[in-house]
Amino acid sequence: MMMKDIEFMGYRRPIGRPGIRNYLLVLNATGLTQPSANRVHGLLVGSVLASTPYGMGSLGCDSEITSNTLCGICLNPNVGAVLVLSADRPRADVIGAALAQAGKPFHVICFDDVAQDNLRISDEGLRAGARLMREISRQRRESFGLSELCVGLECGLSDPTSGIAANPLLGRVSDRIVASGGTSVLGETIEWLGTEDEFSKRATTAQIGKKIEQAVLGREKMAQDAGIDLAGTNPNRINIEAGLTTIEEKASGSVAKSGTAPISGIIAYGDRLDTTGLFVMDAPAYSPESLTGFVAAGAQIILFTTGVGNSYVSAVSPTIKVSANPQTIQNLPYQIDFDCSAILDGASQDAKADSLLAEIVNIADGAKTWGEVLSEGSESISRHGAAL
Amino acid sequence: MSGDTRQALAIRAGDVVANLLHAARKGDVFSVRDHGTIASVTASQDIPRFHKIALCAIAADQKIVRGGLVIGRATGAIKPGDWVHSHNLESLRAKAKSPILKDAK
Repeated sequence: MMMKDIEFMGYRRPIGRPGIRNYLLVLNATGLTQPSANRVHGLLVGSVLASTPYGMGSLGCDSEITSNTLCGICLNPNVGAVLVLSADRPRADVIGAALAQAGKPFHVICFDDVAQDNLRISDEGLRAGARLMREISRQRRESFGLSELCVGLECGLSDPTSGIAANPLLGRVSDRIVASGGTSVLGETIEWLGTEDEFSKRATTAQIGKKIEQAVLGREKMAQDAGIDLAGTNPNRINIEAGLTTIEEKASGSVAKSGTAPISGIIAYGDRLDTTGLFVMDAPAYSPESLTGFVAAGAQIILFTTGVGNSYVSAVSPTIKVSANPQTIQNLPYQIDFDCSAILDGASQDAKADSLLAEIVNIADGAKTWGEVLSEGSESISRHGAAL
Repeated sequence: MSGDTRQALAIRAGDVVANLLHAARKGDVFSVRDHGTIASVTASQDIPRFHKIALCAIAADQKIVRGGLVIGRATGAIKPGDWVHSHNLESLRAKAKSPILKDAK
């Protein structure tokens, strides 16, 4: 397959990358409006929901990062239009401004628009959401090249097969996408621990390399300051039972997802990725939070390896589950989208990378993952500060 | 399954551990892939599938290298064919109450 000839069918957006889905996003910004958002989302079949229950309880830099992440989720290319529900008017205004600037159709309803009436907000939300959904359904797909893809790279509930086969496979696919002018992003900072010398040397500038090193050491210090001993925490009980012993061992397998491309930069959680290349995201390792970071960065699709099995997927970005563990493949036929266990028997990694890239194109074109079909997706915004 | 089909996977020459692609009973012989110098190892005990086996003798406190990276420290002497895991391998990083980073480099 000539990479320059690879195309996918996507939804053109006024600014930025094309979407591979065309969702109405119900975006809930506060705890008070969450039940109403759930009701509206439930009634609008095919819409996706991203919600934070903490809203006005989030303060200082936690509030800023939450706001930035909420905006990022709204701006994700897979989102065709947004219904914003919020009890916090200033927060809603910030999101609305970002959507207006991006030229994306949206409607905001705040609690004070409906005199704090939760039934009215549900009713008006349903009507506005229905109008938006019907409007955006008229858009048709067009052809785009691989350079327009931004791929998130994740591992969850890893075992030794993750580091041996599944993650290196993602690395090969990532290298191909980056070589075609596309973008990939890897997070889970604590899982670079032990590899940071080698990892930071791959940065395109010494300054970026230094930031990568600082991100890793900073995360290690965070654990130490909190009195958290990684032994037993990461790798966790499930990783350990499966055969991973130390964080350094897990990290050597985890960073294999990044392939061999130079690292063009490091972004913070909630930041947007507007340029191309391989990037790293300084973010928690917990998958729900990590995937939402990718969504906010603008990843239209996510590759997610698992060793023993992990059903979690993003709601906004189709998430392809990959495993190299033959027992897991056998146990979970309704969860694993891509079987790469043949690599353990000596099958060609390059041939498997070709297959996975072909499957990425299929999913981008509209074929569904198990996670989509079974509605396993959610979004989870990481907290970065104390509650008062 | 004959002894010939049992494989252990190393990453490169110099690795002192490999991952078993099949579960081991004590005495099982494994051919080692991708190591370069060590071609086979005999399990000295039962070892679960995908877990690590020592390819050579490892001294207590020795840094354990895999794929060119240090993955931790042996907490006791390890014999060739031993199961290598939490009972004899310890991380060097992110220890609460340790002096920051001094142990790591």
